[in-house]
Amino acid sequence: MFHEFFRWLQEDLGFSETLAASWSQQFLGSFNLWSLMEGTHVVTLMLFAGTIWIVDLRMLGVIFKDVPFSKINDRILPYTMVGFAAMIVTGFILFLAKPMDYYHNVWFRAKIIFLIIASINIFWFHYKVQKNQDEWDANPNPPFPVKLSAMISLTSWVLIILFGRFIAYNWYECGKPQPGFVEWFAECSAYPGGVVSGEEIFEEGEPTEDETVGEGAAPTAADGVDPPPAEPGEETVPTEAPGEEN
Amino acid sequence: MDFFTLFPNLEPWVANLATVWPASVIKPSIWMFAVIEAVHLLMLGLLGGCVIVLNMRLLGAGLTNEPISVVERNLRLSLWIGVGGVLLTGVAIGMSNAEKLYTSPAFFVKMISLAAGLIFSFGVTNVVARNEGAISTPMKAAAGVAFLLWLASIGVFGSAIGANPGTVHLVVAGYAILFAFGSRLSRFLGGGTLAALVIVGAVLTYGVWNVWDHYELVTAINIWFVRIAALILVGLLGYEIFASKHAETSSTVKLIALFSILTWVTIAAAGRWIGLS
Repeated sequence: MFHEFFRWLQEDLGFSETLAASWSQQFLGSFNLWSLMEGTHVVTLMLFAGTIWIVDLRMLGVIFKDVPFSKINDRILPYTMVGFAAMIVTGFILFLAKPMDYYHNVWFRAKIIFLIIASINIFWFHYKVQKNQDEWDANPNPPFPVKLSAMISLTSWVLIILFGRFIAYNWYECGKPQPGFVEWFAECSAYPGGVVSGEEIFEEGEPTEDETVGEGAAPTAADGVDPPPAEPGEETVPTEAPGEEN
Repeated sequence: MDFFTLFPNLEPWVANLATVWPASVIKPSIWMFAVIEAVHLLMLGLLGGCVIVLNMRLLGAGLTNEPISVVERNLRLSLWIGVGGVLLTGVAIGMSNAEKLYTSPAFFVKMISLAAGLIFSFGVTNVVARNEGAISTPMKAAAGVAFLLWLASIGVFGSAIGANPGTVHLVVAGYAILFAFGSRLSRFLGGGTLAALVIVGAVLTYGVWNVWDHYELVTAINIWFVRIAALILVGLLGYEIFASKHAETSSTVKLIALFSILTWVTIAAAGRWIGLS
């Protein structure tokens, strides 16, 4: 649906002849900037995920049972909100490094879906469930809607983190033979390289190298942009040697 | 500095790690390493949240409406599950990647900091919190050892080519802690300093001098900006801790709480920079 916009964002916007790279591609190959954004995104998990789960565990009546929910929530929520802001800002900036590739990534799409679910859950909890908070605030065993909201929150954020980590792996990349569901879910038909069947691969003789994804690939030395020592955004390790960290 | 430099004779043992369980099962698998590493992140989140909430309480922020011991008691199990989880998953993925870690300065930083973090959070702050902020001399000594270990680790972190940008996460975390428990003056000064350094640093790195043409100059500028930011941060944090009117915990305990959080941030940041250096 938005393929052409994200392709333009990834390959055209801010394209420099001297660098042979768009702004997006320059950011991806940048000196430390991408790495710092991504590092911040991951390290901030300690602040964001941790504090959200502490509140969720209170909502489930697992911890701080003798403490009213409001006392926990009111004091911890500011930390969660700062963490959330940092995650959203760094996440958005990171998306700009490979917008088209992420747009067609099954794990990224799944992550966004659960981000939406988690957000709806937050709104539902705040505008519906919390309306009668005075009735259950001091209750060590909150009512079912509260626990349900907590379970949805816990599950959503766990999956968001899992899917987020899997984005970097190219198991279900477009441009390689994939199950039909993957090709539909990721809209591979719009992606450079598109939908590929196994027979086509064997006819060509050589399987596609995992590092050269297609026109949306990060700039390499051949493009006139010297890549930094550790190429950010490209987790090549799982394909070269499964199980090894880059 | 890395483990290979310290213990070069360990090479055969390191090479063998990947051939024994669980690495022997993880390495050939396409997905196992990814899943275990993702669980490592989940556990890091849980552990980090507990560390932050407990130590901010010791610093006089966050759950100040509850006694310190109540906060510690309620977070204890989650803290243990978190640390158990990161250690188990960490060993599994570490063994699967042993040769790389053996020569990685970032991994070396992470392990030294981990020793400090374990002492801080499972030997000192937990006991101090149980005693409503009271600290004994042996606890102070243990904290001193942990602090020295952490100092050594960030010394290596700051000088490790390729990994030293990771120290930025540490400085930013320090400023975040300052905003969380500091006075309005500190927030204003700290925020202004950080914003100015980030903006000027970015302009110099990406605008004025093309980093690829002036690599050494720009690298030096970046390192000095981080050092300046750290220096100002130390001043502001010191002011907040020693000039604090919040007398529930002593300055010593506040310092320990601060370094506890920063140590776990170091562990996480160094861990990420293993893959980026």
